[in-house]
Amino acid sequence: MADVTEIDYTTDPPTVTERDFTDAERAQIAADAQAAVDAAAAAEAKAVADAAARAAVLERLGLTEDEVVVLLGGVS
Amino acid sequence: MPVKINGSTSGSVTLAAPATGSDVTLTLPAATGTAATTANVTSAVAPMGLVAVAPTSIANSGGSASLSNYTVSFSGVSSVSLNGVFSGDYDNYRVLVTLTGAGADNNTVNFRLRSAGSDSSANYTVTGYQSFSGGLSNQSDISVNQFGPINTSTTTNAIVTMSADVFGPNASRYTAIHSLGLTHNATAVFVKSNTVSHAVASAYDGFTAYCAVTFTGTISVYGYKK
Repeated sequence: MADVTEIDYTTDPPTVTERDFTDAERAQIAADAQAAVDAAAAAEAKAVADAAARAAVLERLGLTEDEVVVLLGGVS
Repeated sequence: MPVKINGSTSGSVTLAAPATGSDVTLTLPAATGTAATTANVTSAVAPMGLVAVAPTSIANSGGSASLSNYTVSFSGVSSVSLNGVFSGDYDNYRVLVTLTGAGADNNTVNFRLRSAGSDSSANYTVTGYQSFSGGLSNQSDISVNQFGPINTSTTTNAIVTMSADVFGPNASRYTAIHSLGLTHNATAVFVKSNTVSHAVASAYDGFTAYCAVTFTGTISVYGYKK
């Protein structure tokens, strides 16, 4: 099965063409996949760092997560 | 039999009945005026505002896609491209996207401008605001080369929609895009509001929607007629 199906509606009936990805398209797909992996890793690293920073602040203040919720009026 | 009325100096008007047909009555208005021609009427009442635009061609990877009644429908694709929707006919355009299914939750469907069958994959600057119902919201500059992401959903009856206004895509100057995406799936409600500048002074005739997982839905494009 071809990678890409193209339908040209300027002809009557429409012309259907099937082809494989070009080298440029393959490279772009690989780059997109890598970018998604990198973004997920960055988001996870930020979440871990944020959690650690939050825990450090709570420890310094001597508060629990539940107490913070109470202080913020139910918003955490 | 025609009735011919001659002008006082030159020219004439001929009233002619169709050669065949039933008996009909043409009643003239009870006021002085000048009759409008068909061209006058078309010019006077041609709609302004949003006018549906059909792509000259579409391309999809995986699944299937088709065009019907100015709407591109696709099922199980990893990308779908609309060619020939942006032209000199209109300066600005509106793109409406509705997704009804996906291969997995919370992958983002992204969009890229396209010209002569090739995507433009660089020079986008995205400044966005994202919120979701878990209570967290972020505002940030997003250094990714796309516009208008929306989260996918596998949830039955979920809401996955995006609208985007595209400013001057077919002009040889930078293109601006304002997009708003809403997803309500089993995880949360996601809102992604982005402004995008595409800093390439070239004309584009279409765009591609793509995702790491397959997706299903429809895309409609409208031109803003002046």
